[in-house]
Amino acid sequence: MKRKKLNTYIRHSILHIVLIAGAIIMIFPFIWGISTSLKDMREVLSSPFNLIPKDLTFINYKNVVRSIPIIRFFLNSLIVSVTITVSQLFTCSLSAYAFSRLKFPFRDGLFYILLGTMMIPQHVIMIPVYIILNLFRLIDTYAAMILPFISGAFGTFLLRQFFLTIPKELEEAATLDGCGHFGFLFRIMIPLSRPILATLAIFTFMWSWNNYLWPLIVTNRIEIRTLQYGLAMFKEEGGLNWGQLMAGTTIATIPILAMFLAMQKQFIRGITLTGLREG
Amino acid sequence: MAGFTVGRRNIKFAFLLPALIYLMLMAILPLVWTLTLSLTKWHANIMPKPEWVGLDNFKYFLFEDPRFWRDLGFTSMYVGISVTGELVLGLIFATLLSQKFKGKNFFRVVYLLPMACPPIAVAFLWRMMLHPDIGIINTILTSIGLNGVKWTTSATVAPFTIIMVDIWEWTPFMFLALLAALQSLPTELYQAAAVDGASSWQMFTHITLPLIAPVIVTISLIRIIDAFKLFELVFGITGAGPGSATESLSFYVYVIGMKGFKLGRGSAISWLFLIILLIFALILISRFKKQRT
Repeated sequence: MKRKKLNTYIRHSILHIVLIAGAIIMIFPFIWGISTSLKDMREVLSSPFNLIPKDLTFINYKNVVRSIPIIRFFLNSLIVSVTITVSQLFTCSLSAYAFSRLKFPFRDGLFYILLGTMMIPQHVIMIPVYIILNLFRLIDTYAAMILPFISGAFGTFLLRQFFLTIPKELEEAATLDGCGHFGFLFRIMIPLSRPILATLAIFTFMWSWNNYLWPLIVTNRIEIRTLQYGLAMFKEEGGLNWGQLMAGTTIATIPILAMFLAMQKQFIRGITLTGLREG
Repeated sequence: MAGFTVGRRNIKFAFLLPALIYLMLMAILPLVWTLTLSLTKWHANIMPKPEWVGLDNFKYFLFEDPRFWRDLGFTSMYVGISVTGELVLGLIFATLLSQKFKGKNFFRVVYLLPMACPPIAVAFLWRMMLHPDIGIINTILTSIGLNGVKWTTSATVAPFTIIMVDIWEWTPFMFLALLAALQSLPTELYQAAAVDGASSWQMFTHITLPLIAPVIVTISLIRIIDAFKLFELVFGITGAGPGSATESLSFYVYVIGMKGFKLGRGSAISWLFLIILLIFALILISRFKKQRT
């Protein structure tokens, strides 16, 4: 009996050592980035070993704010990501409802085609979508960054899977009470689907906040660039000023990590609910 | 009564409208359009109209352009190694963290962080840490008596540097999906297996793996498709260099279409891109089906 106890003790120790090593690898780049952003240039180049800066300085943040309109970029990112997230929640709820609750010809076939579009890489549709946006004189506007993403196959898929688990009896009861499709969706289905909607919201927000290639392609004016695009400007300009680059990187990363940490419980629960299963 | 049915039908259409518009404007129309464009020559900044050239663009990439094959080679190698690595590490961490112990929730959150970080920020963080002279990684290596590695400046090492960073960034995704899958497994099976005297390894290979196989296929597909689009890491860490040792296919598509404004060629290469992806996906799915039967 004693030996068994010792065995579990050893097993737990090994487990913890492996997990702690992994955790350090996962978290170290962030800490190192923040640490570098708080050092002056001399310290970055001379003593690359200090985790805690000798002379703590905010000079890099000041320089970032002075040299590029980073607050503007921040607001642009926020406008684009929030608009895309809100509209995806709305449009995907509608189409997920159609694919899970309504009956119409070719319903499942259409759903599988929609699912198939998730396979299409952005690059294949980049050129035509660019030409269409150009036709409507939308290049270099917020609309160019937002419109292509106001609905999506992934969101529809995720919500449909969840809607399918909501009992059919609820709908029958609601119909008896004179509730139409819209009323049923907005008064019953959506309130019941909060965890999965939260998951979709985080996914969509994260994706559009982190998106770099599309804003790079459809915008030229500086005032309209997003944070990720703005961050890349450093590479061209003072590429070797690591402190400044890290200050910019920190500004671009902290909001999304903070949001993720604040909502991670919901996020994980939502993933567990649908389990990314087939069907 | 007739009016009622029409009304109901219209309402149904309203629900379906966003999906239909999306399907039309973001998938079918662009796909057909790119296919037509791929049969033309169109340098958009100097030619007002596309000029018909038939299959020339495809011929060019498949038979005359070594750059296409080299980029495809690098991209496939990168996708293969990264996705496999992410899957294995994700599975290990998910298995470890599906057990009950103190501090589990802390680890779970930490293991998800890289996934939330903007890819371009990931690229810059690692570019700094991998810097040959002032980067922390080489500093550590030299301080324990090893030689520094030319992470980004050697043509043989640089591809693996990209792979390493990609594994760091995306193992969390695999971990998350697999953790969810592991938690939804029925516990009765394991109790029954334990009664029969099965070892934990036997339980893992005979119960766990077959049960989570569908999830593994789904998430591998998602990652393969996503990994093929490799752009930010290349752009931010190596700039496709040294030489063009780390130029990914999607970087090349960007250079042709969006920097060179060669829309005909750009369309052709993006269609080739799509076809390659489809082949990959079909192979994966059919292999999976064979294994099941």
